[in-house]
Amino acid sequence: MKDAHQANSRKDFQYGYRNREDVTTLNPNILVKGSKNVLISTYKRIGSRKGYTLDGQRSTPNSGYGIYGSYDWNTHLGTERNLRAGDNTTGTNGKIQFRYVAAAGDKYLTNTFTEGQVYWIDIYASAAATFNACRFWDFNNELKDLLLWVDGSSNVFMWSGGVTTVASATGTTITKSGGGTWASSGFLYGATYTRSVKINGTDYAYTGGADTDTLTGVTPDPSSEPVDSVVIQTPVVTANSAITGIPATFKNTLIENLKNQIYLTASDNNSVYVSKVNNFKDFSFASPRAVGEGAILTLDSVPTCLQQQSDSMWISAGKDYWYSTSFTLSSGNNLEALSITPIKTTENQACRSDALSTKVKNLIAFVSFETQVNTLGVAANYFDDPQVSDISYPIVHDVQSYDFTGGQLLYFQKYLFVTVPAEGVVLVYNMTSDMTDVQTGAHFWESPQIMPFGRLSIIGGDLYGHGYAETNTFKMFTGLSDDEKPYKCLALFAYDSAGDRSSTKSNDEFFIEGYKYQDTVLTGYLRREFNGPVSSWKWGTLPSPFITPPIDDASIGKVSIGKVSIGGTAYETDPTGTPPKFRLIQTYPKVPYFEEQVGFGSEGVGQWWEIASFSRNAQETLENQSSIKDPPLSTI
Amino acid sequence: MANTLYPQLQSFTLYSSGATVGDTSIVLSTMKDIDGTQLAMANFGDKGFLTLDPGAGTSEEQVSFSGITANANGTTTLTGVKTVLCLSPYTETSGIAKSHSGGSTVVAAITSGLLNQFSNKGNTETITGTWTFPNGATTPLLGTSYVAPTISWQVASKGYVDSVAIAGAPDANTTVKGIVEIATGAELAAGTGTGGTGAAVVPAGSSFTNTSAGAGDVNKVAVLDAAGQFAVGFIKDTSTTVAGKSELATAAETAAGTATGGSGSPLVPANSTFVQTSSGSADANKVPVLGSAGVLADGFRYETGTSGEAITAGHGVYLKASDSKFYKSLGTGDEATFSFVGVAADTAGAADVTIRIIPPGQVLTTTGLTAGAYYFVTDVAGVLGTTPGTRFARVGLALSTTRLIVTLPKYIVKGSFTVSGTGNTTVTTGFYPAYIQIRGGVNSAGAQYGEFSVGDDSNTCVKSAFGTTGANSDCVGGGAADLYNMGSSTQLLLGTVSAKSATGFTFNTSAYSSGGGVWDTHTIQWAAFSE
Repeated sequence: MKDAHQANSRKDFQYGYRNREDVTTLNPNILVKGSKNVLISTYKRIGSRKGYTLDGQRSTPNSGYGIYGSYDWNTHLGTERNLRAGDNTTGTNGKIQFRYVAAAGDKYLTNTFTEGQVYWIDIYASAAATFNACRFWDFNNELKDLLLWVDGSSNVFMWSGGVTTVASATGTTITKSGGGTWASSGFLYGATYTRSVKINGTDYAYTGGADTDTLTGVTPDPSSEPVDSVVIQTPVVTANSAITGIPATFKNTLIENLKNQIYLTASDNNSVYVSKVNNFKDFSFASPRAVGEGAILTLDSVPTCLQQQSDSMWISAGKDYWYSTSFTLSSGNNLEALSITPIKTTENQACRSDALSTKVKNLIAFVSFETQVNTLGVAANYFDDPQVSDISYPIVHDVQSYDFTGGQLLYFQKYLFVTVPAEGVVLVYNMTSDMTDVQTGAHFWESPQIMPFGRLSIIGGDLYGHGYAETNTFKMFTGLSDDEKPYKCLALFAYDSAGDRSSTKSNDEFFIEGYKYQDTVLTGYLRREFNGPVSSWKWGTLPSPFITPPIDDASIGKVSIGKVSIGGTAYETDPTGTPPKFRLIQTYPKVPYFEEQVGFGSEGVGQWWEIASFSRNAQETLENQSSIKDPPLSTI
Repeated sequence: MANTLYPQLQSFTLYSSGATVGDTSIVLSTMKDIDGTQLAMANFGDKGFLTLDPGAGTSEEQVSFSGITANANGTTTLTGVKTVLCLSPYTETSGIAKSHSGGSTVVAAITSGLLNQFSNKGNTETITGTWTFPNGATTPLLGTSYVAPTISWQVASKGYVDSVAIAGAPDANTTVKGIVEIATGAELAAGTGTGGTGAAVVPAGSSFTNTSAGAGDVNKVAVLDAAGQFAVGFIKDTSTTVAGKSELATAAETAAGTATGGSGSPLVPANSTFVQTSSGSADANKVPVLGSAGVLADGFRYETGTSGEAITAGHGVYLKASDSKFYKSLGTGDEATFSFVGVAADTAGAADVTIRIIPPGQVLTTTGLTAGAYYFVTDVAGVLGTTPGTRFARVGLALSTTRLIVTLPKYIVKGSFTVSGTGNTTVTTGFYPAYIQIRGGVNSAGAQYGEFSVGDDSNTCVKSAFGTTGANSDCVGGGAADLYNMGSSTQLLLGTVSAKSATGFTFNTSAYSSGGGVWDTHTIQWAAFSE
């Protein structure tokens, strides 16, 4: 019997989840359709995922409307500005907010914050519920990193990222807290831009003092603003009509930066406008074009995606096209041609949207109109031409059925995250293994994660999700509830024939070895025959010797749950963070079968488990071996 | 009235944000029918029933909902969500009772709550809706033939009731209750007492009507309407040969001579349409009738116009040509005297008030008149008096101390002018001079002193010559009013009324001699009369 267990032992789960092949012929170590909310750790264990927790204030319930735009900006000052945009209350009022981490006593509107409290503060009300942004280095005026964004209107929006609090205010001055000058906190000091600050929703213009700690020439009278109120730089809006070289009615939709030149597209125009170096307000150029001047690139369709890669801008357009740009310097070094080169793609290989693309190492990953998750870039043995590779091949049946509206791709810590908010799913492509390591095998897809996110952000080194059907943001893969609600985890493995596929087998022992909290109720499933009946067992609190007494330092409260989450780091560096180990053998009557599916699952709050290995003492049966022999023959 | 429908649907998925205890709205990833069409409450009725997490052990929950919102992002929000007890009494309580994971299965299954909407033939039921059966009945059909009920609280069919109600019952008469027969229309019209069954015939309810639709209601019985009266449709229209119903004419209809009113009946004037005296515009479209003396009262023939200034009833007024408005008459001015149109019947406190004017031939009723005296325009604005003003205008005659008949005005103007040579002399009278009297004489002493001539606008004259009598001693007839030089045959002045106008006349001197300087000028005295 021990040989039977050993012969059917399943462990080292390194192939992930697939939805392509017949589930009865796959390697029984592979997860199949039906699996959800389980992840494979670098220890090659399969376990329940962590939950997600609310970040910042909870918005008034506004069912059906969510956050449709986000951008994470790491400024030259070392500060992090995380922006999100979505519907306000009616579904038509766009609002852009940034994530503020408060010091004790900071004030905003009617709120007085505690230390470390997170609050999403309004910085701009827009007609659109989303936006597209890039950074820009203001070499000519401010010597500052600036954030530029567009929202489909004929404007370019600029934010310096300046944030501080009020130390004091008079009728015409505002003194900041924390020492240093206003400029050193990211505020505009030159007269090139319209300068004003926003305090508790009111804009105050100023004329000087930004190179000190006190703004001067402030209007209107700011003296009634409470001390410790949060102060932000008011975004500057520049209409296309005030920008040289672009149509005044251009519907600015996508914006990107390459070599401090701004690339601008519109939702109804085949051209890409390129600004002069160091000047996002001038897109003009001479003929022939001088070095650093603007340019116009005309494509075969409307641009859908801009991705800066190396020294080129990679541009997707329409449903079929990809291009890359290149600069060619003249022999006199004074002229420079900016040209576009079509990439060898075919129908429906264009990127669906800018958000559905991201850089993955030296490649661009994107969701095409095919529908596939592809990578684009150089590939082994193909160094001359960029190659399109379908990485969603193993989960083709899932991807082909999904509606990717509102989705986003994000590469983070060796994982590629693909949100499919219309389906309420987040796909995770696990790239933690070394492709050349025979022990770890290839990259693989995790099971679908049932999560309500459309946009993702990397905040403070952690992964966050923005609600697609609610205007709230959550820290992902932390805690053991989904915003204090239960969630279901289910690992369903491919059917296991346990040897000869044509012979019936039977077993009466189900061995499971893994880790779980004592109060976690782990359910084991055995389904005999394809879509056949299921036997299940629930295992809750286990006495010794079913469970190994936990290591003191691994108890809850000693090691925080989130420290070893998938969202925090690519590798689990703290094995003591796992729950106590258990092992058990569940017995039951023998029932002959040809193939059997194993599953593990849980549902609720506070549930955490990981399976290290499992086996059944399956052996060929002596009885019923002739059950599929000699079926009745057709008389037709 | 509650309304529940039973859509057959595939399963749905709770959106990945899940649902929490107490939630009264939940979000589904999508909510479409099997053909991919978004579902709405119209597919469920007033309320729908779902099962959350079916087959998931204690997580399973039955809920009802009353609203569906298709969201812009493709999700669907169910509102008015209540948890429903899976066991009797299937109580519905606002908010869900269990938390559910995102991605949970949601099915529009046959839940116990939904089944509770149905009646069960073995259960004691309370029917809250209205059930309708064939032929619009609200009671069920009991097969194709009836069975006599045997239990006191058993429903009896109409056939059974009919059978027991007729059997053995007597025919009704005026002293015995019993069976009657419904009369036909012809029987009603004929006053038939007994029908074909031998029972007395009585009118059915459908034989009565409180309005008449005309020939379609032949033989029906008229009953009073809600006002306790017969409707007008029951009575024929009146005509020159039929005494029937008619409609009172409106003032406008009376004025237009409209024959038939809105009801289709002939129009007749109401008594209030007739007046013996007119009070002005308030009596517009009314019909004048004779007074007690058999004559029409004053005021029926008054004129109307607009005041140009404040005017008091009884004032004489004239019509100013420049604005066609009425002003008070005044004997010191030509137009204010000679454009007299009548006497004000109404008082106007200011200009631009519509007032009535008593024209010539009509009577002003007032006080303080001198019976039998003529009345003239005076030099006091608007005041008529027995003494003429500067200009002579006789405009009335007092019939008594209270009644002044306004007469066609008579104007008389007199004047003179001097002639010292040939040519036209234009004389202004202020009115058209119907008759002009001319008298001329020499102004200087000498041989022709005392000579004069009297004539008129017919250009005939009588002259008195100096010296001898003879052919030049008088002039009767002839073509000109002239003066003669009695010492010779030389004419001293020969003049005629050559033209007349609405404001005066022209005197033309065709021959003139100064007599060698013996005399200088001639003076012509004239008098003009309006009639």
